[in-house]
Amino acid sequence: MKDIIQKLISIPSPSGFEEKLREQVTKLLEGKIGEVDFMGNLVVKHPGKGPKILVEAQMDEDSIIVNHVDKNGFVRFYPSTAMKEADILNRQVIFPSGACGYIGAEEVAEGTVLGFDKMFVDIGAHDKKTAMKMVQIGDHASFHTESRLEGGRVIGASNCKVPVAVLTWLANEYDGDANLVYAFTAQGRLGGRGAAAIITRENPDIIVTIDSTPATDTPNCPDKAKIDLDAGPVLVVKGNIVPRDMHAISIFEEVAEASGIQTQRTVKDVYDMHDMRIARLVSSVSIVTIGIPTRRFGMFGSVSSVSDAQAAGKLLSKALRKKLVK
Amino acid sequence: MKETLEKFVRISSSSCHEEKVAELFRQMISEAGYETRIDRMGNVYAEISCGVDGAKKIMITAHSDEPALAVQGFTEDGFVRIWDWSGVDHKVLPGQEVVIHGTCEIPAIIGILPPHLTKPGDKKAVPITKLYADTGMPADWVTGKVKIGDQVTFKKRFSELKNGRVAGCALDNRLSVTMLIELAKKLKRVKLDVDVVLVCTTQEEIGGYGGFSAAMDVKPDLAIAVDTTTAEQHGESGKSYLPFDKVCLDNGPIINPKIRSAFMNAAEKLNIKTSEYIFSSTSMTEADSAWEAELGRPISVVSIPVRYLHQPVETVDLSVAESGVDLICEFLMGLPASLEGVI
Amino acid sequence: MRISNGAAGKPGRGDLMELLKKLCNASGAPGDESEIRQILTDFYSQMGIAPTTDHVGNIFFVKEGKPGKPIIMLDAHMDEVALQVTGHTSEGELKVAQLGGIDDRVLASKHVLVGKEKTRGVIGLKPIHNQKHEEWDVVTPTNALVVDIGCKDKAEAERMAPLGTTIVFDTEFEDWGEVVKAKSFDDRAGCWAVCKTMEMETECTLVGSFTFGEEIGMKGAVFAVRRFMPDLVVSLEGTSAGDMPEVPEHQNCARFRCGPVITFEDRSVIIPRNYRLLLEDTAQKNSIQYQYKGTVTGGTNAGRMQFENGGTPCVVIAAPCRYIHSPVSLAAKSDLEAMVELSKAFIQRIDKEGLPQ
Repeated sequence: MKDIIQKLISIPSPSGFEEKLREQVTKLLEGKIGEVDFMGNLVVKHPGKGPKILVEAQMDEDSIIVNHVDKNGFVRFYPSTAMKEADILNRQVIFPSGACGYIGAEEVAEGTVLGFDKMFVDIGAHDKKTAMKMVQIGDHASFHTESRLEGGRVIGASNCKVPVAVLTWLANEYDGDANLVYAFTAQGRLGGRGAAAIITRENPDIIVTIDSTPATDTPNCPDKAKIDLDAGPVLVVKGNIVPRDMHAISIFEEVAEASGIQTQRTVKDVYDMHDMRIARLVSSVSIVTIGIPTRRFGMFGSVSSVSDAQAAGKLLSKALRKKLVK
Repeated sequence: MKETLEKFVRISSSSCHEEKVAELFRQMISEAGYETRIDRMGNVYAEISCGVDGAKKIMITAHSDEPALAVQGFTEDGFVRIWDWSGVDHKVLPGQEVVIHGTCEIPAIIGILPPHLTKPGDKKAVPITKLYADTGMPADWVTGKVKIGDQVTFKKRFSELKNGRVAGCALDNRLSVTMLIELAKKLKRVKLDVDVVLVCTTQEEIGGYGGFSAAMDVKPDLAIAVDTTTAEQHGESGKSYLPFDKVCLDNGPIINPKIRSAFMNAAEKLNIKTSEYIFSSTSMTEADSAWEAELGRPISVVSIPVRYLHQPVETVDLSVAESGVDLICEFLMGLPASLEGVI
Repeated sequence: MRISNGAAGKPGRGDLMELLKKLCNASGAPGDESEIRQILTDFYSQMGIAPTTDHVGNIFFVKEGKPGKPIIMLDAHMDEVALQVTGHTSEGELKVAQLGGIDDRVLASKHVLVGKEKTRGVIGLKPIHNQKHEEWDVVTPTNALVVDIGCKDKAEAERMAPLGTTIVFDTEFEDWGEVVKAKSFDDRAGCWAVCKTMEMETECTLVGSFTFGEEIGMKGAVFAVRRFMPDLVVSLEGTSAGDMPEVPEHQNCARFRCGPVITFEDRSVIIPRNYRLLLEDTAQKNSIQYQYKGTVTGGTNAGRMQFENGGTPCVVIAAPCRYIHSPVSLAAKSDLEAMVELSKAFIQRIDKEGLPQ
């Protein structure tokens, strides 16, 4: 697990441009053949008996979308998800071509609010022509952070990396006979779009999503639900909108207790958009979410624990042999 | 009356560019059987003589101009910058169809920034400096046909609503011009003891200049202005808003009280409902000009209440306008040759 | 005296616009699109294609191709932004709410058509004469506006325009030469383009899909895709041109008269790159001037359809129109024709080369 995390954390993976991460995952999948669809999803099947279980983790991270390059080579952009202007100002971004740049802003009058329309990326280009060699209209750029794995902690990787690592590990390790579909989904941050397409294609009986859940063990964190790092995977009882399958949650908890795996519960999850899309499309399918406790820092960095990832992997590998669907 | 009004409403006639209305007025007056003449200001006079030399003269005026815009400049991409020419509310402009009177009549629309560029919750009106008329054509085409100062008028609309009400552009004051035509037809059938001069006047919206020179020209013994006034409408009532279904007789310091009571008597006789608009200094119609020009000649104002005044959707109850014509006719018929007791 | 804007149209061009004129002049508030359905049914009956309808109000026209060839859905929505009667005042006016997004500022002083009978009405403001100085720049919100159809009292208004009656702008289609003016180019321009595209010869099966209720949340799209399971959806649209003064270049959505607009991404969908590149290449090979949609804003039917049937690829081709979602908008004939040309060329290419991998 440690090895997989190490190999994934430094790969940029903006929404819609998840190729690099997908290729790395494919390499790590030890000879399993996956299918890639037009949205960029990677689906690996594990045929077996019983109800079809879709095990899903999203591959993408928050990004900015290039909509214009001006004659001096400055890049204009739109945010891909809800983010604050001040949070991304002066940050470094990386484009699919590998080009890097910094986010700057036009001078705005005192007291006026800075908007994304006043911001730009400087990629060091001389003019539009050189800029267009590095950046294409429609490109997504993700926020570049130095990521490390140190002292059992994953430091600086974007939120999607550890869940993807857990799913990769699971796909390699699982040797049960359940009918599983492993889905590494694209465009998850844009509202679970990749997952939505897979759901209408595979028509699963239950969906197990592996996600990151905000940890609340930071100094003076006002959140009442206590989610700690190193305290085991989180079973989400209800997201902001969507309630989860309580039968499946109880099975996960039984399995965890029997095998000495610590778990936590939460009734709130900020990955709400993702939930809503899935719920709207397949309201009759129940969902279970296994969260990796993650301290989130804005759009880019996070801190999580390898032990939680290992525990989540172990829990999934055992629980997916049980009868999750009533 | 509706057909005549529609003909007048379909004509564009901004202040100082009122020839077409004058032309139609002359044509309709001659159809009614009277001579007309036009002066340097563009005022058209129709003299209805009672046949007695030295008879007293009654002047009845209605103005022919309307609220309009003018071309102020051009952008590089061929958008036409606009400016208020005569009393347009800039809030009604976004999404409005207009006609630019360049070397030919060029249709255009006044646009507004696309919704994704206006900040949500932005509830302020777009200032006229940020509005423009769009012909859909490139700059060289536009500048070849349009010059700064060219008139921009609303595309003329005329909608029939329920209950004999009509809505359209420039009812202020094509409605009164129409009333003069109706009055002329009516006067053909009655005998008066005074001379009547009907005048279609110019440049009222920008200061009442036509009415001023008409008064100097005619030197009337009594002047009546026919105009429109603000009617009660949704959410708006009070002193400045007159009942929609009554003819309004203005009252104020410069209005001659005897003429007013003569009008009231005529209204009572015909069973016409009237209302009263009380102003403190001037009536804001061209009666003021007539009063000033001729050193305080006796004047009066007959107004028809119109909803949404100065907008392309001005709405009026035509039956009120018809009563207005009847009322003026009755008033004229009741005038003695000496005007004794009236002035 | 009046001449057209620009050179007189080429011979025959007028006929091209006849259908667009009919579509734009018809009323089609969301959920009330029967007039549009009738016009489309008449058009397709000349081609010998009978309509397929469903319970929600979508209408489809299928032109069968050869078995084994891709099924391509041409998508446009029939509805337009409109108003709806929500109450009656004691003086006999109609209180209204918006159906679809309309800027409050464009509602002031407009002529409208109420209901199926197209009763004429107006929306008026307080006259400028009686506005206080501080009122000059205050915009009246929709819920404070009323539609005046000339009724004398509440009872008459309730009889003439019951609750829920829809109201559209009273704007007539006009051919100005190189440009056309009308209401609702969003998305009658798309409906028109679907009709025109389907006149082409191809071995692919073409499904003309005209959906209801896009303006109120892409209500009809999903049923269309589930029913016909297309291999590809080509959405045809009238999109907002943003090349006005005051708009910075990088906020410009699309330039008027600069050819059809190809979307790379909006708030609802990332257009699959291989499909987008094929579309661009087709435009280049056929010397059709095209442009990117310059902003990542708005959403279309494609946003809803992309998930269906295990994922359905969608591309969006749009004609840049000025001032959509307002009572009156402009479209250039050259853009409209190029949009049809591009969609035909794209379909022909897929017919020949198959779907992109």
